[in-house]
Amino acid sequence: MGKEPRETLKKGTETTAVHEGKTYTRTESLPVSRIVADGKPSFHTGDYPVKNGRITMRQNIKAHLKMIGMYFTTNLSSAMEYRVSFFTQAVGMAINDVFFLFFWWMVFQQTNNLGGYQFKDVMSIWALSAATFGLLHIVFGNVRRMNQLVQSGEMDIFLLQPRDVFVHAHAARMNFSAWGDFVYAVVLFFVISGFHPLKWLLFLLFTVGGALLTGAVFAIADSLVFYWGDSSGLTKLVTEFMLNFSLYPDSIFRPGVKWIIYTILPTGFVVFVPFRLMQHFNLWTCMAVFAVDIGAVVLARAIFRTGLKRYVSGNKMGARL
Amino acid sequence: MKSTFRKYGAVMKTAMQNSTIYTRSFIFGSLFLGLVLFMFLQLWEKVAGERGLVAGYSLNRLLWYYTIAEIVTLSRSDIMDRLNNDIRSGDIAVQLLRPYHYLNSLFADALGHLLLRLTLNAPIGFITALLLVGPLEGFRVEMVPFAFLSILFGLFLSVSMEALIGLTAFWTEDNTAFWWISQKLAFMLGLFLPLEMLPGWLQKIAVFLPYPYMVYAPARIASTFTFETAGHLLPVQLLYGFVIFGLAHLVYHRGAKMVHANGG
Repeated sequence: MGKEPRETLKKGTETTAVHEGKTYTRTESLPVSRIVADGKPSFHTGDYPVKNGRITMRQNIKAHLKMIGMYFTTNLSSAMEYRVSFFTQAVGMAINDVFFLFFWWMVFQQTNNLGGYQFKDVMSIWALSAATFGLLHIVFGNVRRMNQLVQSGEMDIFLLQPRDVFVHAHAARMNFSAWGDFVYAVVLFFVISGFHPLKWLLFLLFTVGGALLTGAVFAIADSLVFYWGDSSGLTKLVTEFMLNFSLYPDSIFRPGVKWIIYTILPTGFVVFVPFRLMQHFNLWTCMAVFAVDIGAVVLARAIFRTGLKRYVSGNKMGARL
Repeated sequence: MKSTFRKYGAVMKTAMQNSTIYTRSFIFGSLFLGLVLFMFLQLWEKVAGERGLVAGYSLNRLLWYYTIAEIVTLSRSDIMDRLNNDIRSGDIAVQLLRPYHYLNSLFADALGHLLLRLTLNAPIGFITALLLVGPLEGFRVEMVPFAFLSILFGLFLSVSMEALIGLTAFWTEDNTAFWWISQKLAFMLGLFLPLEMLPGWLQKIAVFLPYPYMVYAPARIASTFTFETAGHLLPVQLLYGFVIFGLAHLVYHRGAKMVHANGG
């Protein structure tokens, strides 16, 4: 079989095409090599007409949110095809979480105050933690699976498509059991807080922010796969540390651990600061938490993209149905 | 009989040799063990406060309890995953043709993995506990064989339970939820909470379930040894081990009859 004609585009190269009277422009964000069929390059920019030859950031964000939404509905429909399995996994995970409620109830039979935390406070931490973890794995079900995608060559699929590889690769799958975590967290939070609109608003905002931050930390650990060849052990360990540090009240931690939870494994910004903000709201601290969430995602994406340049395709043939 | 032992002994030996290549996984596993013990120490230190006692356990004994409990729990086999994969993919049809008993070979393989993990986890756990709270209070050399035997019985019971759950793959689409629930019962009735921390009514129910004999029994025997406790817990562990093992065989024979192989 003859070699397919290819052309190499440098970073920043713009390609323009006209389709049905609309002009589409694509600006390469990474150097790419693409197949040129019949003297015409294969070309795709998505559904968005451009202004002044460029897709604006707003349009780009909108396109990615639309993609995440479409993956969400497609994956959910797929889950409904195997609903027995879906419900078994989700209910199993929720029951699994209920056991820990029992554990903490037993701990508070031994004491009524854990460094300033009451039983209800620990349950609030659990609700926040389970909600962030659940939401993250529902929307970005490929998080912590990059090792598998890279090693099996499945990353090729995302490289060929016109969306950001970092976002696309993470959003392509849904973890069904995570629904159990999420629903459990929502019910638990309702039992603890009742219907208090401001608290619910903050709970939802911090859940989204916390999910992004937790996902960013996992993505950074996972991106080491591009350098080490296998970083799944590290990802597993980071997961255990993040989980353990977010499921116990921070008042039990020694000073060294407190330093860790506000820096390299930032569960402090996922659970503890949001928990305090829900008790005593402060706008500036709230903004700072969201700044940390967004900053971590930007950093994780940059590390992922730097690593991605080292990725070598194994030319795996496959189809996604 | 001799050739049977040699056959399954060879499977066990191969499993141990295969496990030795996963150095990285072992290092991360050790770090996890250290983390968990550290978290438990911080939690119970706070709970114990100035009393220094929780449900009759001193902090030193409690941390040693958790060390043994974690060592047993982390020495988990992959027998359930293997059964799930073989049954769902249909590979079991090929496995049944081999010149050994399929389920027994999986048990031998699982025990090989477990013994190696135990050998690796135990020193890490002991060193961590020594660093965190010092040597076990009231340690006596004569307790070592009893504790060791109890750990082995606990592992045998755990593997049998995992096999029993794995074998439900013959009938169920997804059995992970059964595993989570079974695992959490073992966690709450031994790993996270020694039975002494449970309310009286629950303790009375728990002693009739197999779960406390997986983790609680070895941890209790090792951390607060008396001949009386060992004499009471060890036979029940062994009995439950054989009951669940027998049950797994029964389920396997019913399930294996459902296997249909077409073509070659």
